[in-house]
Amino acid sequence: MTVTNASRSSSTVIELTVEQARSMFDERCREELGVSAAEFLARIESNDIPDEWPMDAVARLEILLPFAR
Amino acid sequence: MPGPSIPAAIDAFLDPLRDAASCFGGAHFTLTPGARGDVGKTHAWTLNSGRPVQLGRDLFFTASMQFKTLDLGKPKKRHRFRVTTREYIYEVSARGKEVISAHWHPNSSSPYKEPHWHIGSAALAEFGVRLEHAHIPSPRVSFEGMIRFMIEQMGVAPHREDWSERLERTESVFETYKNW
Repeated sequence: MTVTNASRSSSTVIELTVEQARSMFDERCREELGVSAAEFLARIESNDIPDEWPMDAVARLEILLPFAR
Repeated sequence: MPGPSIPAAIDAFLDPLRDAASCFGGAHFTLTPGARGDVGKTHAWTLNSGRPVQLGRDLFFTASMQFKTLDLGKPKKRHRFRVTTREYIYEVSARGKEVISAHWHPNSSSPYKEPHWHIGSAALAEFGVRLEHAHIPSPRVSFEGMIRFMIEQMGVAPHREDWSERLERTESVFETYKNW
């Protein structure tokens, strides 16, 4: 993990490793939908999104897909 | 946002956003692996590893953005590399429920490809619930514009006295380099 401290502001930038990024994405999937990253990715790739999955949660996870790949 | 190298372009892209985020107390920008070295590949940042940032007054903020670094060629010299936004989601929530959010995700599974707003159930009266899943068309929304909206219209307390000037300054960079 690379951390850049912002001397002029209170915000930092953290570049994750591949393992950290995949772990973060899996955690988000479990928190948002209660499923693993693997299941979410499989559903997205097969265009088989369950109706009961909230649209806003799916959108929040889809924008994070670069963390999983 | 241009730069002579990929890391410089990424910094030129992120620094205004970091400045803008400092207006509500700051946040960690979590970047995808390789974001500072790849050209032509879609990367992303998300605040606080995708977890909501507490704003006070029971309000929380979630923000994520996809972006791509383009190589415009050696003749461009100091402006050779440019970072361009591909998608964004900025969401204000209260007690786990969406209040309002600005979306633009043309590459997602959603059939709606234009920038839009969502009005969440936490912001609606019972008779207005038909808007809950509506995609309300909007112009493109900048990260700075969303922060200004939260401070000016939703009562979020700014953490710096110069927040308005700071947002104006960083948004002018966005206005200069946006390409649509």
